[in-house]
Amino acid sequence: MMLPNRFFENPAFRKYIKLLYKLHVLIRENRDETAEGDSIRDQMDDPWENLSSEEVKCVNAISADLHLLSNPDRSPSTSLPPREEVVRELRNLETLIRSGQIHLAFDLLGTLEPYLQPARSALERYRIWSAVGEYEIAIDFLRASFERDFRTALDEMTVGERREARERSLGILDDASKPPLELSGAAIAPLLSLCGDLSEPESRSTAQSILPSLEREIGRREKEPNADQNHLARLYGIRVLLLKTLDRLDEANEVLRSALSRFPDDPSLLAIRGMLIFDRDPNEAYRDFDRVVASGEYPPDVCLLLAYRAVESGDDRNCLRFCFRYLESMKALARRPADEAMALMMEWCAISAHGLGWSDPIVEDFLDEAGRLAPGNVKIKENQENFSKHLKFQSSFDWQKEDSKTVLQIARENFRPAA
Amino acid sequence: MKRDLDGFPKIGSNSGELGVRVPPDPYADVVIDENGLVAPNDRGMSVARHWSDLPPHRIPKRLNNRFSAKQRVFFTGSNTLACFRMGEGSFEPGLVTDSLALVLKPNKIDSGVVVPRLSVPIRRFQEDLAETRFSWIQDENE
Repeated sequence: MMLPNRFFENPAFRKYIKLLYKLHVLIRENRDETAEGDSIRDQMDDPWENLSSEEVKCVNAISADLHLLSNPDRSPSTSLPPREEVVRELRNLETLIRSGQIHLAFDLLGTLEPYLQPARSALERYRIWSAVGEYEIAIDFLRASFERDFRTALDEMTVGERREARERSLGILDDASKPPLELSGAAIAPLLSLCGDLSEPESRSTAQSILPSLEREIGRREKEPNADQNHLARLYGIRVLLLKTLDRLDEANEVLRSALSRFPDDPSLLAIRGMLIFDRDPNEAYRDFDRVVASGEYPPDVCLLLAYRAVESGDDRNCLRFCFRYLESMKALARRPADEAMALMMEWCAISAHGLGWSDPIVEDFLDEAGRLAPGNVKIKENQENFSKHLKFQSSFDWQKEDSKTVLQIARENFRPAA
Repeated sequence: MKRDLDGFPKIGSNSGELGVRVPPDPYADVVIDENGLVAPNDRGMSVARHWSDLPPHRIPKRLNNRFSAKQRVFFTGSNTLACFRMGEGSFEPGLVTDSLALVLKPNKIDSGVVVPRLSVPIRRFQEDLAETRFSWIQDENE
């Protein structure tokens, strides 16, 4: 006897899932109590009637998962350290995904949930949804994974997976047959996040692909009477960066000028302008950064450059302040700082702590940490050696500091507004 | 179903109303024959044994707070809906009123449809359903 098609082989199941996802997107955007939401619910009745009780259980669990996309607070807040059992179960999960036993994969992931970091569980969901060919849902989970902990998620992905994810994101953006732009909007964030390891021509081609979708999204938001203005300003910011990647500098400047005339105090736009003009006019850039932090926002890249200004000018108190703000911001964004950025922070903390007269062991600890994080950094090594000599012989010394170009480069590494 | 101002179900022929959707509505609940009659078959107004047996896209989202923490599910229904119960008896096929009957959906024990007991004009069927209005009590208890 042949078994009937079940789960993702059952057209009713797949149809229900697609509609369920659309409904969750509307709920996330507070747009489900509308004719559009009602119409989706009406369309869901028919496939629902053709689900088995096992399939019902599975779609219920999927609905709970989809809700996590918009409510990260419901993810487990504490994670237990990896255990052998968890590692083994993750291998089993991979096997289930590969063998197409998707409902069992969902079940297993549900039981593993308390032991996984939220970024990891969202990444596993990306993998499951990719395996069943539902790329819109998959990419949305990838976005969620990046938002929870960008570096952990990226570290877990193989080079091949990153490439595939980029292609899938682009596929969603290029699919003009998909009328709800908010679905493709979800693809923009992971795509930008995945562009870090692209060569220049690849970055340009990716920017070229993203730009039309982004402009449609901006156009759509512009027409909404109650559009979220902060979000709109952020989209303008991304547009500026994409135009810059494409070397369409005049356009980028024009969009930025126009956006800033509309949102003159928007911290994300001010931060972008500051980053863009830093090379040629650091003083003007710092004025923008000062306005950003005065608004109560502390983007990590801005904090890093403000900490640099403070360490350069001997303003030890502010240097420490911005170093700590940088770390807080990265924590709030659930992102682990890059080792080289972290090393700079530790080195500057050492310099400022010394300037403020903190005890030598504290200064030494900061320097040791900096050296551990960036063993190849010559200036940090030199500072460590000079400080050791100073302790031994009470010799005078000058701190060696990075040049602004290097610091800017490191700050720009963090500068992924959509990540 | 949608709650009317007096707290009882809203009567109508749209989704979420006490009544059935009729052709040409693409999601019509009944088939009307050439004589304008609705037959007592497996098509009618959908009902369930308990509100938690309804499709999750028909259960109001506000009920998530009290239910879904215990079970892996997220209700996606409109918050304009409320859950109503009719009668105290068990959920079994049979007469609901003199003119209406409950038929279980194929292979289901927890959901069914309310159908006319005999072939009747669609208008009569809608009126019979509307007459049950005051027998429905809002009940969202677990």
